[in-house]
Amino acid sequence: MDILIAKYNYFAFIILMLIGLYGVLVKKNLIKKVIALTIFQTSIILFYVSTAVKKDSTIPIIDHHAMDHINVNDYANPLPQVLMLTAIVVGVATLGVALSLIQKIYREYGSIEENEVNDKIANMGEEL
Amino acid sequence: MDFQPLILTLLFPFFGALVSGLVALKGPRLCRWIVLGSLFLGLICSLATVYEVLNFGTISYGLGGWEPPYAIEFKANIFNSSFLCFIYFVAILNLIHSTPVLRKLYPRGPQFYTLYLLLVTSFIGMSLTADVFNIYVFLEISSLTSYALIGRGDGRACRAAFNYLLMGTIGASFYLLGVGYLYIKTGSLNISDIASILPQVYSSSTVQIAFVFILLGLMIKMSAFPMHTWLPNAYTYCPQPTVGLIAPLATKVSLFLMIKIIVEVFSFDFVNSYFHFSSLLVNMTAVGIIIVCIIAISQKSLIKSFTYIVIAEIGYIFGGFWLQNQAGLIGAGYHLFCDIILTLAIFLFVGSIRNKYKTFTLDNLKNFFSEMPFTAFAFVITSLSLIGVPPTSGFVSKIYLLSGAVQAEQWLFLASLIFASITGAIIFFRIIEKSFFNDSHEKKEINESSLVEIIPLYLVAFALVWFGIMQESFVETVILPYLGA
Repeated sequence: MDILIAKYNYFAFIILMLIGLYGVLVKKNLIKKVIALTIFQTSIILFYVSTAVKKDSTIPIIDHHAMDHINVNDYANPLPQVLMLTAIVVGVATLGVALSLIQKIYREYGSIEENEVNDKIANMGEEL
Repeated sequence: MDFQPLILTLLFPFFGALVSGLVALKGPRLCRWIVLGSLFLGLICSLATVYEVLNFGTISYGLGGWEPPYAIEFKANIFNSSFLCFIYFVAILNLIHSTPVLRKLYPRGPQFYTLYLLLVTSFIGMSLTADVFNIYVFLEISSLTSYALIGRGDGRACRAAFNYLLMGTIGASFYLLGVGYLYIKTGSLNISDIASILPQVYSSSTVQIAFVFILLGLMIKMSAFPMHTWLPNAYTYCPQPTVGLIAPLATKVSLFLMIKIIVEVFSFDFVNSYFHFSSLLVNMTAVGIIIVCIIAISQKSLIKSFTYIVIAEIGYIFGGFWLQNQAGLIGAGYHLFCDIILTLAIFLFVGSIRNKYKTFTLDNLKNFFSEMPFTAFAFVITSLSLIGVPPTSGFVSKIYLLSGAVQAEQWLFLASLIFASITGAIIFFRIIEKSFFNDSHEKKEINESSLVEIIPLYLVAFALVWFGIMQESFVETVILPYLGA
């Protein structure tokens, strides 16, 4: 129980990550797969950001008047947050590409259900 | 301001991508020259980097005027600077070779050139950067551009690209998670900085989990055996100018990253003292090679059997690396380079045939020895190298890998290597048999493809042989300093 309280952020991220993986593997609808993928990526972002937090700390922006006595422990670690900005951008780009691919699949096969698409492909026969 | 070839190798294709995107609508010709020009300038800079590394040793470059480890550091040693030259070699030859296809494709969307150059940029970034998070960023740039490039194809291409997207994103996310664990424990992202801190915390389970996640992520990206299922469809339905760049490089860059991370960040000492799976990995790869080869023979579509051969070749490098002895490491390092040329040769050949006969089937190949004698000759050299006949480079890497397997007493891996050679022979002799011993004896007119296609094919075939003959000096200057135990 102590571990659960002390490290609840890790549990949260692991549960989210497993939900995401489950969705990607099991769901048949392609949009749902993409949603699950986004949850999966977001869980990792949550993990990074939660490691940056310190007790009683504030956002990592230095006050102009306090330039002389800066205490590192007063500020959250900015590096994981900055890294996650990049990861968020990557996630958005992935989402965009995924949605446009789904659009193309829909135009090609008239469906976004994985099994229906697979059936259509099987009916068309092998393209060489 | 002095000449900094190291950073220019990355900047030329990067700015080329931006400029070609801007002028794309002006017309194909201008766009093409910008792309080719930036690739050539990049090639010159990468050769200059190799020259500097050979004469003055490792070069380090901190971006943004900061000093490493605070800055993102770019670092060139002899291994990755030679890798850069190979990337440019593939990118330029493939672009020249696919000129006729691109003429047809251009009206459908001039964005191809931008994506192409961005893909090259990300490959170069991955091999140069000495920052684990920066590797992730370039990994994702390369994945996103390849999803887009593959998805541009017809028919099943978009479905294959979507599967690739799911697998690729999961792989890259695992890698990111591993980097996160590593950062928590060491507080640094710079490779050499991490490597200096790590030995104090080797026993920490955080570091061990980080290693497992990074390895798992990269194995998905490189399509090592059980995670290979996304590759065959993605490469088969992908349009020609794209497959010529992605097939030789995308998986090889991930393999390169695995080698780089194990050699430079962790070490074999760490891996062997906390994990005992290297023998397991080799055996798994061996089983994988055999299974993949059986699938390759049973495919109806020839291109698909070639893609399975690509997976088997990845298995050679992966297995050879995990043998962890001198011969295996040299074999893996050498085959990493050799396989880039080999895969390029296979897919350029596929491109030439597709260009001539529209599709790539065994029936279409019936007359190609008499109709396209020059292409056929280059094809024979390629198949000899794939089977492993001396003096081609395929023979050299096979010899190193085989002796590595014997020294490590990994008999299953040894058997799988021989089996893969036989498979290559079966697949290629099927083509040769079809075209030499067909029943029709009518004389065919020579109907060769254009010179822009034949010259790259011959350059690649020549490189295959020359690379095999020059193997001793290549191994001594490039591979031994980096991978020699």
